[in-house]
Amino acid sequence: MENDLLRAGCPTWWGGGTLRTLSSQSNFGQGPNPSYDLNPNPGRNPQKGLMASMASRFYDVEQFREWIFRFWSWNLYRKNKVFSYTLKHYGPNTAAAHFVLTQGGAVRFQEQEWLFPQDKNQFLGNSHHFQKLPLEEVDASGCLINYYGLENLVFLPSLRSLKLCGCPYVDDWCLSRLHSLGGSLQELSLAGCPKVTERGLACLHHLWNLRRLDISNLPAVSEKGLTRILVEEMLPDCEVVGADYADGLVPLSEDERGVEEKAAAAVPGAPRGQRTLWNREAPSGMLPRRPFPCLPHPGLIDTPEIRKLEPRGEVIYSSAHTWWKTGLGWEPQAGRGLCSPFPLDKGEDEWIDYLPSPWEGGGELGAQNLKR
Amino acid sequence: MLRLTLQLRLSRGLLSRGLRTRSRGPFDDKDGKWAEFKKKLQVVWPGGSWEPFSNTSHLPPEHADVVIVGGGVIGWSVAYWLKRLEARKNAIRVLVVERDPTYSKASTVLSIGGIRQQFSIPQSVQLSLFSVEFLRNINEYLAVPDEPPLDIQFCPSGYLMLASEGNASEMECNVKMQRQTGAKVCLLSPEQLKNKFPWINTEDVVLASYGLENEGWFDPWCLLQGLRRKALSMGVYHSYGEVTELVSSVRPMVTSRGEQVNIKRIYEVHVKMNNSLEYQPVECAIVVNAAGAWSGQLAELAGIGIGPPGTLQGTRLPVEPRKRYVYVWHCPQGPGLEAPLIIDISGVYFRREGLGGYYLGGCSPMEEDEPKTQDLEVDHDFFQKKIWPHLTHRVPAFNSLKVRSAWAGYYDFNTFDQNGVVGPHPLVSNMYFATGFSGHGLQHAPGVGRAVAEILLNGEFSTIDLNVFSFNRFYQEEKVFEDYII
Repeated sequence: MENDLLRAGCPTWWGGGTLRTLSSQSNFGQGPNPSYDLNPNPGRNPQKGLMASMASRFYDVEQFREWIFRFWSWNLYRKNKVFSYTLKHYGPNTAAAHFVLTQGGAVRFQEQEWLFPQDKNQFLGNSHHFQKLPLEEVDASGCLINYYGLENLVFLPSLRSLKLCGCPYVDDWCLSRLHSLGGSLQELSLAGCPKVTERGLACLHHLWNLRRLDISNLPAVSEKGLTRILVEEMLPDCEVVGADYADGLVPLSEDERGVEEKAAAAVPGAPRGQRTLWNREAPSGMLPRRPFPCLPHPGLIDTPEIRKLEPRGEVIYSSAHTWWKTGLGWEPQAGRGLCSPFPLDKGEDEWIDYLPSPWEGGGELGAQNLKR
Repeated sequence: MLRLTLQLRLSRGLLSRGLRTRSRGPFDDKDGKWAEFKKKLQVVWPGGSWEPFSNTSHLPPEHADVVIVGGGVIGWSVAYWLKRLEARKNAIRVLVVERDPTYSKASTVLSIGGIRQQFSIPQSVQLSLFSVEFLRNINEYLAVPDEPPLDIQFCPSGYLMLASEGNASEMECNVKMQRQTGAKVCLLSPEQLKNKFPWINTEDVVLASYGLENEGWFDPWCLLQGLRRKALSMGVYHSYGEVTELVSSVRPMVTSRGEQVNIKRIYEVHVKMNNSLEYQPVECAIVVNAAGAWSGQLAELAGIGIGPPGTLQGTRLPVEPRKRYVYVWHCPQGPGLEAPLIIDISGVYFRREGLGGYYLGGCSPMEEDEPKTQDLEVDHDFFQKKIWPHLTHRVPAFNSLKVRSAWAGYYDFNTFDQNGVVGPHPLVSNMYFATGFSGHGLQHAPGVGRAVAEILLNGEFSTIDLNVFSFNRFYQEEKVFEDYII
């Protein structure tokens, strides 16, 4: 790393009148003897001069980019340090709560109310009160937690619910660390984590107490429907939500489907594999392209506030689409800083084109949902 | 010369010619050499066909500081770490020589890509832990500007090793050592094993050790290409050719006990181009032997092992190629997503491959059944006779399976104690070894690369002390035996 600092090169004035930078070691845009070119481009238009000067400083710009990348990486590690002082003096629960609140998540101690980042100072003031209480629920959605930051969370003895929705740095390595929560964790949500793949989901079998697993909208999982089936087999007591069985399957055309059904009917008692279920249930050819086939409440992050609201509808399977709809009211003040992009009386079909993407940050509405 | 011929001519002119044929004087071309010379001159003359300055861009450079023989994952790892740890930029010129650009027989690309910390030697565990840390942050170590990030597709499913009566106590000691070194491994009793993985038959299993974190399998080709790309971007030279000769100078020296030894120093490496007789002598300061299964042959080129047996001169590098088979089969009712890489008591191992009910596995044969190594043909009978019975015994679901494909690869097998050789040779002062890992070179590659770079640049190991794997143990007959070789 020190090499790079030296490599950056301070401007040297020994060679002559002009400012020599790294890229002057190449003859790009300059004559064969740059030290003798007192003013290589006199009278140039200043705007053009900027582009030309940037172009002639190619290696400097690249070095600058590398510095920015390195700073960003260092900053990420700084945010994910282990809170060892708090750990030593106040125990793992308080340390974990402090960490999550600093990152911008929310925590809930046993029999207490949810603590949000704005309550962090109050929490720190009352830490002796919280010290003996076990931490039960952690909602770290959208936080910049990575493998090293999870060190603060994985040793919690009685964590019941962990939400890692939309965490951009949670990947398979992080999931492999969750095995130590196997004794207590009952609910895990990985919705919208862009780096989680089916290989990481394979190591969730250590969580034998898990009752609810949310794997909706994982773009890196290649075969979502098949993965859901395999995960359900792996965790028989757990309710897996999020992925549709039909995901990743190419719909057959009319005559191909006819051939399939004939072949299936010809063999009596042959097991109708789960993979061909959808053939019989989707009556029309192509399933509609939905930006979020899996999210139960598009644009809305599932928080305990939302779940406390009474569901006013039921899950509807329409024959034309497999479409989830729950009738939760769109109270604007519910949850943390939520605002619903959808007016209450929009029909089902009109939602298809209107859904912004909270996970990809499209539109301010999505960004609002993610920002803390 | 001219004066002599003039004198001769004059003297001869006074005597009679005799019956000789007419001579042309000093340019008497009796043996045809003058005619040859004239022909050569015509070629050299401008307009002729000789080009004095030919294109040598396909040849390696004439001088290099470190020549790494072998372009597998170990060779490129050493190159990367040398560039990473050098004192200033472009301080050392590193050349990596690889014989086969298609990597058709290289152990790296034919391996199943597993990484584990369950070894019986602490240094091996440390190497694995270092490598896992490297793989976890691979995009920070090996990022090249404007190139896409690497995806090694690591599957953190862990390794499960089963032990019978005989090795249970050993396994317990080893697991204790592994945990002390930092590996996250736990011991399971047969009941716990049955609870966790109901599809296993725990009939003669007394103990099992299961890796909870940092163990699994990944894509070795991706790691190789990542190391290669980053090393090339840092200025490592590479050449596709074969090392045919190692020219060394010998210096006789006397030990403290008064014995005479010859210390050799390799000063030139002859790199012969593929499909050609052309070779380039590369002048070098250090040669690193990372040639994998063929390291023994390279060591012989340097003169290692040529001498009376039992002496240091006569101790050869005991690394030779051994062929191992890997079979891919399909079993729809087989173990599910949670299946780790299972290593049975009999030595048979298998792991899940993908999501479609495919598995791959194999077994190391007994000494007496070692297959011939001249090609990489697969023996399917080996699966039928030696692997399938054990598979069926351990996982009854494998009773009905169908083998879809198979391949074979070489282990760079250390016949002495099945562990790697890292470090310099005592007599050939500038040859360093990084070979002989007998099937677990890939998982140690980042750590070994760093260790060799440290010992080259600093003279000692700073991160992980690999003196236990030095060449001297072959002469001193101290076996550093690895229990868990699969």
